[in-house]
Amino acid sequence: MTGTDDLIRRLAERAVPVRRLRPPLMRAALWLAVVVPALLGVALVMGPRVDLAGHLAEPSALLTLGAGLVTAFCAAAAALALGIPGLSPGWALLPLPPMLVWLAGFGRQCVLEWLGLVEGSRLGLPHPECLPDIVVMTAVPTVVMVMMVRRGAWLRPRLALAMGGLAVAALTNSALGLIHPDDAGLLVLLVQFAVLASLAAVLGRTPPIRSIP
Amino acid sequence: MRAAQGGDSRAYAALLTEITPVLRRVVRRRWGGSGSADAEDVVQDVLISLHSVRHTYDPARPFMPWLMAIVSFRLKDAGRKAARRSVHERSEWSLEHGLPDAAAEPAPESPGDSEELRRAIASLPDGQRRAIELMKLEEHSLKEAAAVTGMSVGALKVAVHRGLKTLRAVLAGGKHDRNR
Repeated sequence: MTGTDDLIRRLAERAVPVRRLRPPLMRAALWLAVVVPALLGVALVMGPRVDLAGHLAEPSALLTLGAGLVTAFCAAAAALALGIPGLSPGWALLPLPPMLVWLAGFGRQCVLEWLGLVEGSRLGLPHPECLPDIVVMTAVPTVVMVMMVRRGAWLRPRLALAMGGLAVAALTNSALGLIHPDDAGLLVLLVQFAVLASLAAVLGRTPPIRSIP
Repeated sequence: MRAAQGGDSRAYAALLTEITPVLRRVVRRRWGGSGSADAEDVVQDVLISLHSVRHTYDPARPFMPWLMAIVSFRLKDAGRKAARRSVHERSEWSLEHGLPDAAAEPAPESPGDSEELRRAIASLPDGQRRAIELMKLEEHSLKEAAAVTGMSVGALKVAVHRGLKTLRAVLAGGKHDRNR
């Protein structure tokens, strides 16, 4: 067992102090604390939607917005918890209830628009001039989330990054609804999901032997 | 573990020494691979992984579930590695491949002399030898190898590249000498 004894000696020699990871819920709050001011900064540059007060007075819009933000927080916490050895993979179920409420509110609005009962822009194609706003607003939380997920152990990378992608999509879609002249459309959400899922699949492709950094 | 996270190398060495027999018992009980040497490799992989992710341990939570989660992931990795290896080491004398053709021309590339390769690796400079052993023979990742050797990832890449170049030159030289 000399090899193992030698390894223990070498590892102990390299026992430099490490910065301990905070609990996942606290790190999710930290992610929001970093990302929300950045999104607000972008919002200030773009300017809030003109009918913001009226939009927030609608109970269904408020419920969808609240559920979107709770989904973002819970999905971020799940993404960060999945990188802690010993924590249950059941954390991935945490964002499920708020996500259902969020998507139900979004879907309800789409159905009402499709039936012609309300006017809106969720089923329409996004305006090309909105693309840079969407890219900037998605990029900032994505980069911060990937950095935070990579600080944890690379145990279930695809699931963790998929959860992080859900958090980003929920947050940016809710934020876009507040600052954009029109509601963020269904197509924007679907494209966001597709892009973030692809990102999770590519970044999480690390071979199993390298699963722990 | 809390002391180890704070950089106390003595406490860390004591902890690793104390958990190693426990790891051996658990790994040997759950290891489906062959041989105690392979099981000891898994134990070493667990120790390296523990070192790499020691910042993820929360002292407010129990230590053993955290450790056992790392053991489980390492055992799964080892199982996959063993399965890959068994595929590569498949005998050529099998029902699928039939018996070897004794009259056939020998393969242009022989699989090589493992003793010669071992000697060539042993003759490498220390840094290159360690990098080749860790990354090419033991299949550790760059980050793991960096954690063990204390070298930077860039330095390791260079050491592996140079080591392979030297090995190629040494082995080609040996073959050339034999053919003369």
